[in-house]
Amino acid sequence: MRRVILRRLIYSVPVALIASIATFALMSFAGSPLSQLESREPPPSAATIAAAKKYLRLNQPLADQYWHWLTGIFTGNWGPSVEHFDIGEMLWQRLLVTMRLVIVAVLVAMIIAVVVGVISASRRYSALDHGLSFVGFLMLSMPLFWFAILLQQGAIRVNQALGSRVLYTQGEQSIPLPSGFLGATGDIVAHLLLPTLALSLTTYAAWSRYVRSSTLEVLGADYIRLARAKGLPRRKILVRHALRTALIPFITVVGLDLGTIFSGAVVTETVFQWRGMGDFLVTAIQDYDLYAVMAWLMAVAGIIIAFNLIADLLYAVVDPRIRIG
Amino acid sequence: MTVATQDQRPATPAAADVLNIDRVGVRFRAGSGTVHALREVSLSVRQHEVLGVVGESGCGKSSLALAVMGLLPPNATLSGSISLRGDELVGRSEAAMESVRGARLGIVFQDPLASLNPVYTVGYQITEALLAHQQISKAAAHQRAVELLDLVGIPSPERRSAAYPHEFSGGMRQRAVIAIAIANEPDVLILDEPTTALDVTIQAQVLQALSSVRAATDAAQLLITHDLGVIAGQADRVVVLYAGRVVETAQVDELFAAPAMPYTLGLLGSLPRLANDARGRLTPIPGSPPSLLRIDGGCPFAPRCPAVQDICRTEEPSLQPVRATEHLAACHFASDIHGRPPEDLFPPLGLARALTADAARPAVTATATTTGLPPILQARNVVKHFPARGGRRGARPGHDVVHAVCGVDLDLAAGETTALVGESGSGKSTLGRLLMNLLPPTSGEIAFHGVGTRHMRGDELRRFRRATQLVFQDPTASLDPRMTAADLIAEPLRIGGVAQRTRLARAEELIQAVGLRAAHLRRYPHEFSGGQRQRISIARALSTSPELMILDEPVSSLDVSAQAGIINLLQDLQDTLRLSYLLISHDIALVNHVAARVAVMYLGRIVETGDRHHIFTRPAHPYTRALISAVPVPDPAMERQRRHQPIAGDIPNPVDPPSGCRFRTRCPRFASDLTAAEQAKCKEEIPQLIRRDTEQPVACHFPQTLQIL
Amino acid sequence: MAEIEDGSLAAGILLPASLEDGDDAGPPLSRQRQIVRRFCAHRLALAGLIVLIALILFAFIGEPLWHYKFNVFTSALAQPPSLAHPFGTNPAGYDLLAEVLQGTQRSLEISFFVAIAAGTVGSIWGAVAGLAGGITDMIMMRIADLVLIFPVLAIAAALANHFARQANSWFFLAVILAGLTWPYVARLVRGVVLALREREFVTAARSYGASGRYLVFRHLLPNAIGTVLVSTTIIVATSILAATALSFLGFGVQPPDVDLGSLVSQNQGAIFAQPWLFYFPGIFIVLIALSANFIGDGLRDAFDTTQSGARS
Repeated sequence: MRRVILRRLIYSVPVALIASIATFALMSFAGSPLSQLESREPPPSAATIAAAKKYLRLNQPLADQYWHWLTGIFTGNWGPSVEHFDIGEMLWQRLLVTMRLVIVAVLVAMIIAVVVGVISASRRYSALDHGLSFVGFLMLSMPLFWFAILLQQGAIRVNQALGSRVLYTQGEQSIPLPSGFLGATGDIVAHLLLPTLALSLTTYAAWSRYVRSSTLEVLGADYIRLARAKGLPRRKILVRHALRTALIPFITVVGLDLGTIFSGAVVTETVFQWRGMGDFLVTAIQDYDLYAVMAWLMAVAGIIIAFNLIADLLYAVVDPRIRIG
Repeated sequence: MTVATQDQRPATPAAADVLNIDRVGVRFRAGSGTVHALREVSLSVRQHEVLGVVGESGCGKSSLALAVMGLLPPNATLSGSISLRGDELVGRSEAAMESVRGARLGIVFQDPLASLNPVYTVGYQITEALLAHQQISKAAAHQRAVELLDLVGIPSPERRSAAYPHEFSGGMRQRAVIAIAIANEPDVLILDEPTTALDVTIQAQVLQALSSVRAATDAAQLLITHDLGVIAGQADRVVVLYAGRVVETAQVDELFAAPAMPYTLGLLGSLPRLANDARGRLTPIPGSPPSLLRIDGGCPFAPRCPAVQDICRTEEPSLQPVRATEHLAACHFASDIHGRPPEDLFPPLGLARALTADAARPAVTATATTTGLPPILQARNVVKHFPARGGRRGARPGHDVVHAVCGVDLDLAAGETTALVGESGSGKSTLGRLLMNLLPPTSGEIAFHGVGTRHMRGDELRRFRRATQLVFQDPTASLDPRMTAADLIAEPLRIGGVAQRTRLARAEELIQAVGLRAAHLRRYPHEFSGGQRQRISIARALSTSPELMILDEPVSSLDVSAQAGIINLLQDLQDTLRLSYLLISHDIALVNHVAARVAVMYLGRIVETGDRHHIFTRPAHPYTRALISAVPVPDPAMERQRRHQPIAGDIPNPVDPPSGCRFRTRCPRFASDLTAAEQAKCKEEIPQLIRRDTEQPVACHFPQTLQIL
Repeated sequence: MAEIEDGSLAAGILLPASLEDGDDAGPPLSRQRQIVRRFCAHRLALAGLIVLIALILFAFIGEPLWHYKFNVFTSALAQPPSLAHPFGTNPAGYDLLAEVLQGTQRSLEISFFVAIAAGTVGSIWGAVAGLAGGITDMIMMRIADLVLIFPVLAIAAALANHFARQANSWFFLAVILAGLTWPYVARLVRGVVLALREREFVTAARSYGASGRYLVFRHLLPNAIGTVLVSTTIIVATSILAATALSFLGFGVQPPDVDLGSLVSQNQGAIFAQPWLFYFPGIFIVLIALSANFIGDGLRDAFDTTQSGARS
């Protein structure tokens, strides 16, 4: 078991390394960070451009730039930003904001997916199953940005009808934040409501189909039949035998979709005007702030690699066939 | 669908019935209609008895088991009455059934690996059964679980109860499932094909466990299986199911000696026998079991019955007593059929049309074996190691090696059948593929007509491929579902570059030779039955006029009644076309029926080889003896006489085979007859396959020729 | 399912006459016919197919035929839907129906391109990896996995932004999205190929000397085609959602060109005053994605050989 953990940990290192190379290589195709400067009216002087070039390390050969950047990361220096801010610090702030949304949305989506999937499986081919399936397809086909705006507008109407701001439709928190731990948390949670709804409702659908088919597969398995033959009550069979085996692989599926969830977070934050990773990324791309974009990509890639690692380990803990081998 | 007249029941005191099944019907709603899985089935199981239920695929036997347990799927309709010691089970609520299941009814399913939840320990799964019905403490339940494991013969039960299912071998798993089923001392233990998925020697262990269970508990057993040998050895009374109906029932001796229903007669006649030295032709039952969708009037067996009359097609016979014993049969002519041998009724069908034999092939007379003719295929010191694929992430790929074949010498003679016998892990299938040059050997030489196969190229290789063909075990898997029968049969020719017109003509010739019609050429594999698919597979193999056919378990995935037809066909083809066969099989009775020479394999080595007669009557190697004595014979009297001494332990993992003689871990001689010094020899020295003072070559340091059978 | 009776086990051996039937089991049930039949049994899939075809016709035939064009001013400003302007107009006077027609065209072009490109590249990649095995397989799949680590939107946005200045920016967008989507197909196809490789009919063909190419083209590909078709269809749905999201953020299709995403983006402010401007483009996105998803589901059922039991 320990060997398994160790091996997976060691394996992640080259993956992260190659990811960094890929990121860097990719960004070389994304245009020059000087574009904004160069397209200014009136055109800046040659000296200004030369200084900018030096600042942005564009004089160095590509390999050197890469090495400079990579080693810089370990000391917290994520590289020069076109807008001259500390990329690392800004990214960290924004990360904390976005992770709230991502974590809560993932949890909510997982819960909805499991509930819908298990109900659909245990009432296979019933009207409820077909109905849930249709709704699922609808949410699968729903453009997140459109849906988020719909929710937002709906909330505004509700607020208007009720005469007061019951639902928060903008931003990730009030400014200034209410005092006291309860007040502050409550405010943040209230601001999380609509974005979480938008993101999780558009994410759960694919997962619920997976849970449904996995549950069906398990329910048809011989050991479930034997559990029934033992005379165990239905609910106990469902929870203790079916779910555990059906849901173990579910966490791996979630890990595979994490990239999509981050994409979704970017869109959601844009609609709800959060100052999170979404805004960070969009601004950085528009400004051709390549180092900022690279930092964003590396941070997200790191989180995804870490999550998949934990998922793998969890899998190993829960499934004795892997644990004992 | 009701029967014209009422089925008779054998006269028994009602009090002795533990389980009473009365006119039970099971119907399924399928896409294309209603499937009648069971129709008007009535039977009863008495205290302490083992009732055997025999039937092939589609007879409804699994539906019977599920119906009793109340585990039928939701789209099934159950009618009739099932009563357990007088308590009616049909129509009970789910909660009421839950209290019956596991407490008064226990069941063992076919596949032990699938029956156990992989994430819970075996001990947990037994205590779960106990705690569901008894008010005892967890500690007491655990104690009882250990006792149960001991009862079914699992060594070190305390330690094993904490192990997970994947750490158990197949036989142990099934015994664990039996332990679960009897945990609460049920009235009836239902066994649905309990040993079908197991090796012969392991099956013997499980059957012995069932005997222990019989002795230790009061439970009656309902044993459902297609294996007539198991029935002969285990059952007291037998019920024969066909197309969802009971067609015959009798005491086991009576049923085997003098069946009264043509189907039963046909079944018995289509079995290759272990003790049958005459080796007469088998009498297959033509056709296949009817689809349960259409229930036309009349006897369901009429389309296949050789004794069919007009009345059979219009009026369905009911169960009537035969000669007023407990013997009942559903046939209008039961009294005529009663007592006649199968050959009277069923013709020994085989080849449809003779194929033109290859004139260049040297003539082989009926009795000639290897006189003067050089062997077609020779293997010397063949070794094959596979890198372990590392099941999950536990096994160490790159480290562990599967020792599939370890130093095999084999000669295949021209024009005769050599059989390779073994259980799982023996390496026989791998050896087959090595001989076909489908896998490169790790070391060793294989020569075809004296020419080494490993380095064959170009024309030589093409000739080899034409001359040797392989028939696979599973006809469904070996036929590409997207190709028609014509395409499939002619595919080897197409790959060989033969023109289309010639191919088509040849396909026509071949499909008729194997007993199908030319019109069937346009059909797709899924439109054929299993036996028919295997015939197509054989036709394909014949397309290149091969010299040698390697048959890898050619009939084991087929119904018993279909097997006989294929066996006869293969024998006819061999006679007509002067083919040489290598038969790879675990079915000892089949091997006894068709083979001239036999090689017994265990864990990658040949342990004994020789003439079929010698091997089966005077085996010298303890494994061969154990193998032969473990096979249940469809003769109740003989089964009762035999002393079954199943060998202990499981087949070792080919990743880590025992040193020296590989059989020593299970060898009864090693355990009881040998001195310490002799045992050391077995541990250290690999026994070579040589002629000791026995008649045939045997790989054992201390062989002992004993007469059996 | 019709089963054929084992008719003549021998000419010349006496057999009961009733065994001679069985050939009137209907025409040979080829696999193609089975598949089509199963697809049509899936009502939503059939509906999806009809809707998608209707949308394609609507966009590609409707757009040239409609007398307004998407970039031409009309005198009607911010009009709700009417007979003259069935989808209404926006404050600048553009006819929304014309815009939606053009946008649908664009979005369909992008998503179909991505689906076909990613489907083709991914299938070939996955098939080669699965067949090659060993180191080649490992390297190829590691590359595929690497692409999957990053959020598609982020990479696509960064790259698309650079090419946005070009004319026909939609084409670059499609290429970028295809380049980020093919690994999904590759993994699926590799799995199928690995499974098929072990199937006995492949071993059987090898035993008569079939070459690698023969195996691939005659056995593996035809049996893998189901998976390829299903995943390609699903990509139509996922790519339209991705492309419109990118356009919404401003990184996708650039003005003056429109696609459904950019329409939503430019009209999101109008949701109170002129709600039709916001709803129509969004509904069309949903329709396209939904019908593609239903078709994909129907295809999955149609090709699934392991299905048992009846649908209700």
